[in-house]
Amino acid sequence: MTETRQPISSQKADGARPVVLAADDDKDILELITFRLERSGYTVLQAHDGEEALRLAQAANPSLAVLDVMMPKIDGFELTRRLRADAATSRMPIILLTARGQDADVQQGFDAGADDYLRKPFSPQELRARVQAILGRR
Amino acid sequence: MAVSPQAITQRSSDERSGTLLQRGVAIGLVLYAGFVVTPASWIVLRELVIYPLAEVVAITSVLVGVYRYRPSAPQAWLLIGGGLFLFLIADVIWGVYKTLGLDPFPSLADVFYLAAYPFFAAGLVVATIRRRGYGVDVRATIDAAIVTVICGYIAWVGIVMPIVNDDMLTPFERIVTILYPAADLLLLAVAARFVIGSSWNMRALRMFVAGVFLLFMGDVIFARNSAGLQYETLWDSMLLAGILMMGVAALDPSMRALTEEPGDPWARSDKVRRVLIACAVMVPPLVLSWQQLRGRPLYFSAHLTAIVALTLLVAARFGLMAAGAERSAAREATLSDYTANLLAAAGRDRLFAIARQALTMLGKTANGKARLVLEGEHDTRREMPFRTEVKLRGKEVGTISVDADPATLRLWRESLTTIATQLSIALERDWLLATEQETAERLTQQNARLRELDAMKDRFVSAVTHELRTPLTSMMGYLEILSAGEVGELNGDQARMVNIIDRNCRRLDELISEILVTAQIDSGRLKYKFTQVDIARLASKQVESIQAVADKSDIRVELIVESQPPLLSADEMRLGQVIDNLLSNAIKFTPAGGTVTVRVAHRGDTASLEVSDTGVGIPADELDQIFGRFYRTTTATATPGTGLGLWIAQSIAKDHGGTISVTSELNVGTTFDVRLPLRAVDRPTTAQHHEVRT
Repeated sequence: MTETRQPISSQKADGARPVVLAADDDKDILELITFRLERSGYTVLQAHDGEEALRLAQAANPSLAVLDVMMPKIDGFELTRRLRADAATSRMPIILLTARGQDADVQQGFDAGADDYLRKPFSPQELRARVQAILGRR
Repeated sequence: MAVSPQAITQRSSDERSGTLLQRGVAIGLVLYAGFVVTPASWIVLRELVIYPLAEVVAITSVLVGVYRYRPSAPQAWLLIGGGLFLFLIADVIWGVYKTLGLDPFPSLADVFYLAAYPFFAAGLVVATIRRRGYGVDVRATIDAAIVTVICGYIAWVGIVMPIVNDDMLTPFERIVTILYPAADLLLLAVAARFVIGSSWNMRALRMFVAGVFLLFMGDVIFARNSAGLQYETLWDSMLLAGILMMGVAALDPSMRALTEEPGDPWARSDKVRRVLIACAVMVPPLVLSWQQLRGRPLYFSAHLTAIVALTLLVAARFGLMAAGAERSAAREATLSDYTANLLAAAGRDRLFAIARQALTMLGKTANGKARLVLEGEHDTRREMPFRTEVKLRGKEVGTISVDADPATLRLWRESLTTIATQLSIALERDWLLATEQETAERLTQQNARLRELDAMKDRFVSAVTHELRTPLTSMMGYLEILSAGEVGELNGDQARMVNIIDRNCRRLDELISEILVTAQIDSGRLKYKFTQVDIARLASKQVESIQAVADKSDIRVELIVESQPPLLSADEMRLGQVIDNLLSNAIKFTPAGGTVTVRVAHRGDTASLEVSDTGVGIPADELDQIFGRFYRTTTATATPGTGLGLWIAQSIAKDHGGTISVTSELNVGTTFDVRLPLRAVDRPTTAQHHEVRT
């Protein structure tokens, strides 16, 4: 929990940096995403499961969310649906990370309302490019 | 053919009895001829020698017959013999009177004569009762009564009334005279009942009945001419013949049938009997007319009595016929209900219960009882006149047996056979349905189990893939950051080693993907999304994307579109995977400086895509194995790979209705030719079962 609060405070200190919510139950991957995006000029909010991600998304209203599909409590698909259903987060861009990589999963992700997806293993540079592409668009 | 000693004895005994009957008949004929040719004036020879001798022959025949053939109820024949004996006494007394020139009437002879008739009648009553079989045949009794009433009526008008009106006779004489037709009528009634109620179509019985008939005729002629006695020889010879036939009949072995043969009612149908009854009703008016024409007295009271009696009897008879018709309609209804019930029911016990119910219902339509005895059940009745088997799978599972009189039996026979057959069919059908259902259930269960196993395997592979990819994601991600120098520049060795780790991570990733696809193909869960695909453009795209790898190995990749095939229906991503697999293989097995050629062409009704290399080649004896799962050629041992790529490529080609063939020459090169049909073929949206080549 302390890990998650720190970025929020840093967001306050540096208001110009866009906030990205990253959710993955694997700490190493979460760290990798955070490293890459923080280095690229984003503030990253870390969530270790679907529930935490939902709470953070609703509390902090981040500019974008990178969500793993296979997460405890609430999976990425369901989380996407809930975020889309909530007026506060309905317009937030979402990138899904999927390890299964089956077309059906990808389709399910888009059906749930995701904007983009990356198959695991993904290249961190590729992730940064996608995030920049989406946020730059706006 | 083996003949048992018993059979021989039986035959020789039958032969002897044949001779016995012939002897009896011969003696009878001699006596009869002697009587006819002897002049009427030789009274002693005629009345005291030939006549009593004939009666002795008749009585002896009865005794010999009873002794020889041992009928189970000898009393019938013995009563008849007794009657013949009374005749003998009467005739001897009569002969003495005649020899003495006397003609007393009434006399002692009349007492014995008249006493003989009840004996004959009693014999026939015993026979009728013994032969009754199962239940009383009311119809036969009524028919016999009709015959008796008509004959009695004729006798009344033609014989009794003239005697009653004969002023020459004293009242006592009249009574005695009338007793003769009365005795005849008694015998007639019993004989008619015997004849109508039973089968008498046997030599002994035919002879006996003919003898009784001659006795009647003789008596009738005697009665009509009692005053004049001018036909004495005629009626006397008829009586003699009758007596001889009644007695000698007992010499035939079929004499046993008098009391032993189960009663088999007159085989004539109701239709024939109906005609005869209608004729019988016509008799009184005819006699009335005859009497009037001859100017004789009309005897209205006799007519009236006869008409009333006949009307009542005929009404009862037709009533019985109607009841019979009703019963047969009920029987039909029972049978059709039975068939319907059988068709609607299932289960062996239920079917048996329905059959039992039908038999009970059938029992209510006739005079008898039918029952279904199942295999293993104890049959309480020793012998049943009719049995029919109920079978299942060719094995007897029960019998339907009947206890009924022969008339009922004849009516039932067909119905019972129908019941047994229908039951057998229903049992067979029930068995087949049950078996089929059982098999279907087992197959459904097996199917469900297999589906479950498949789903389990799918879930397992999916979970494993996810678990493997998660650490790989971290490893490759951090390697990328390391090699980019973002956390400090790497020196040459460090950079080279990080590169090696990265390359191996990519191989691992490839392997995981291939295993996942293999599992999906195996379980038939690989999903396809068919669209219209330009194969030449797809090939160009794949060549472009592999260019970097080829450049690294110093291999030239060229695309030649010989002829542009039309668009074909395919899953673009999967087809791309096929091309990619073949291209990666070609590059892997081609030494630096070599060339990989992709050739696209429209050949006949197929699109052809060839991938040729100038590589190491595949030994000829391994060519038919390279599409097997995990198969690696002996020339490929030095090259990394899973051995799944070609199998996956071929599976995908097959799911498109196509083929992949291969030609190769060692150290010259290998060519894979993918052929895809251009015609629309039925393609599964998911892959079906795949043949696994090893």
